[in-house]
Amino acid sequence: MGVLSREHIKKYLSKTKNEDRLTITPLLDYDKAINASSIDVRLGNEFIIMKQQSFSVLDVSEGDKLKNTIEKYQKKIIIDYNTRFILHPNNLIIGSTFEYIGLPKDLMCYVIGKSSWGRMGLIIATATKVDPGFKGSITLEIINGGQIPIVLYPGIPIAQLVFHEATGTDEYDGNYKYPTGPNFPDFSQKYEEWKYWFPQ
Amino acid sequence: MAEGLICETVADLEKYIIEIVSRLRSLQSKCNNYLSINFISDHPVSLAKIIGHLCDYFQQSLFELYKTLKKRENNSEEDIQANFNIIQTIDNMSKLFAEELQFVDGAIPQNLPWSIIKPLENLLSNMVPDISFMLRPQWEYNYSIINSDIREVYMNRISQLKKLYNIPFEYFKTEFTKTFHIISFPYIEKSNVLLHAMIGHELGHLLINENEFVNEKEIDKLVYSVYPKIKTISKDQVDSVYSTQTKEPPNIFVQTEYMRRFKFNIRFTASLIKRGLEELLSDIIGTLIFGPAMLFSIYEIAIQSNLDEIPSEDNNFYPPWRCRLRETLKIVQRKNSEFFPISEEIIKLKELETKVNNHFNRIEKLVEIPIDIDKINSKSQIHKIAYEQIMVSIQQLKISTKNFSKILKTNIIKPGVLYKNIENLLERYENKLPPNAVEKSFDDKQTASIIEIVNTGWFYKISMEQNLLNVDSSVNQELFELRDALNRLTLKGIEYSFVESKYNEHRKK
Repeated sequence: MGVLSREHIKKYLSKTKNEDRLTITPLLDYDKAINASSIDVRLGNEFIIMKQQSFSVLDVSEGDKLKNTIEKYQKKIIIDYNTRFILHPNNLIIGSTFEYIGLPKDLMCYVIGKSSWGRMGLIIATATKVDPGFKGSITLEIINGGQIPIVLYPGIPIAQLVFHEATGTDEYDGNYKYPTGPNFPDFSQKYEEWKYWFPQ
Repeated sequence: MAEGLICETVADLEKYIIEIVSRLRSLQSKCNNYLSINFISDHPVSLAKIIGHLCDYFQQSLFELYKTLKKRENNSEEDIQANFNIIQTIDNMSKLFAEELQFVDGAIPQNLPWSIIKPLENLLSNMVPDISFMLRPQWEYNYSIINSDIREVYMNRISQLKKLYNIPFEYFKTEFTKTFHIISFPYIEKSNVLLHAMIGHELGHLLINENEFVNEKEIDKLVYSVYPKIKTISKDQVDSVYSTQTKEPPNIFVQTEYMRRFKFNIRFTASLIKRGLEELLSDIIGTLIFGPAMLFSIYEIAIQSNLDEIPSEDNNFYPPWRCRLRETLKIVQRKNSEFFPISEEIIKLKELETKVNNHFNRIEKLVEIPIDIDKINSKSQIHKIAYEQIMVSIQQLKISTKNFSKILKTNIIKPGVLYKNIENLLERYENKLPPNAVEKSFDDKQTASIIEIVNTGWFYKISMEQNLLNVDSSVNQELFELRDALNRLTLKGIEYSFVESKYNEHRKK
């Protein structure tokens, strides 16, 4: 299916039933946020930052041990609005969209960075596909790929969502249900499925 | 030299001062560390700054003290002792301020339901612009408030020093432009955002204080009107003791005992009335602001406790929970403003409507049984009289609703307002969306208030299927995930509605 245009995005945003409607809340400045084939989304104010000094290696074969000790490597922080967040070169942070997204069962989307930020060296969202039926703030993996620090401000538009209608209806059934901010990675449920591939 | 003194010479005092200065520097460095933390509100940083400045102030005072001692050639034993006392007082004060850094420590965003802080600050400043508060967790299972203005408490603490060394301390005015209070919530309920409607009760304390609803004059008036009864009770109490011990006690001794007993009973009655009124009026104010959410929150805490515990010195004269629930329920069901029963026109989902009404009925039945009143009446005549006075006083205050509407302004929640959008907001919970607004389309939306959100959350929680076990007897993990999601969505809803309102205000400018 093709990409949803402004007119179709607006139609989805205005559907009568909650379950059929595309929800993006709160959609501040909708007139500016809805573009020809995308919707701008803003940066949330919760982040997961990395603490390299206390973790030697991330190894998914450690299952529950990794899950229980991940906070040694990653730390959740909250930044108030109107506050600077400085992202240094080659640093990864996990953030999320400010908006909470509710996709109906017949709509999926991709998260794409905004070109202006890209030109500054900012890479946004590596896991870019969002399944139909997903509900929550979308996690953004943010990296400063440039050579000088970049200042980020919670609340500013940072990425865009591009929508596609799905043929048939299916629903998101991932690990991260109804998130309202970024979550620590969790491989523990994959352990049994993957353990054949780990060193015996 | 007198024996047994800790410090006998100026050199001894010098050593003691060096130790204190080291401690103060360490405390000051800790205060400075807090300045680099991103707190959600400015107040924790202000408090850390004040304590940091106080460390400096104490050091200056100690240096002045020591310089004076050094200049003087012959310091008498009395001089040494007097200065030792001052140094020790400074030492104790600095330790007290160090303890209070725990308030700052607790207020880091990770420890708080941070989304509710600014909306609550906003709510309070709409009613009383000159009061500020800071939220922090405590391990004790209780919501509480430091009712006194912290600035005043601190100023009183250092007033003696100011007189002695004449070193000015102006930072209270620069750091805190409003009266400053600390509200604590139970840490283990951090994520249980619906229960935080109890903060409405703490705001009630602030408003009562600010408007002097329970002032000494009022308490004296209430106690004075029952003087004759207390006199008789006191006489009977003394007589009953003597009649069982000796038939003819010496007259003068009995008179002294009458007076002693009478004074005790007056003080006791005053404490019962004062504390009873403070707590019940705070509940009433909290309920006028938060509506049914306040009733449900009190109920949630009440059922964990002894419902009919008699007020006494041991429990800081707290009124029984059943009594608190009863008075709260009366506010929820006040004439021409009854929230229950909810009708089908308000919530079309029959099952939800029934469950919420049933929950309310359960509370109603609980308060219909007057066990607390019976216990109070049978505990002592003094308890009985005090609670009769409390009820008369509350009734008078309630009748004169002007008292409340004047201070709460437009913040008294009414069923018409609360129920206007509740069905749409419930539908958002049902669809796992945050209940921050009623959004029919991108260009047709209405932001919900924190009060609407918390009440909708309660209604939704009450209506949730809550089975601990699955059909196969395994633990219903999904239930706990859903409860977590409910808390997250509520917090997010509150945050969104606040940010959007402020953003729209900014756009209008």
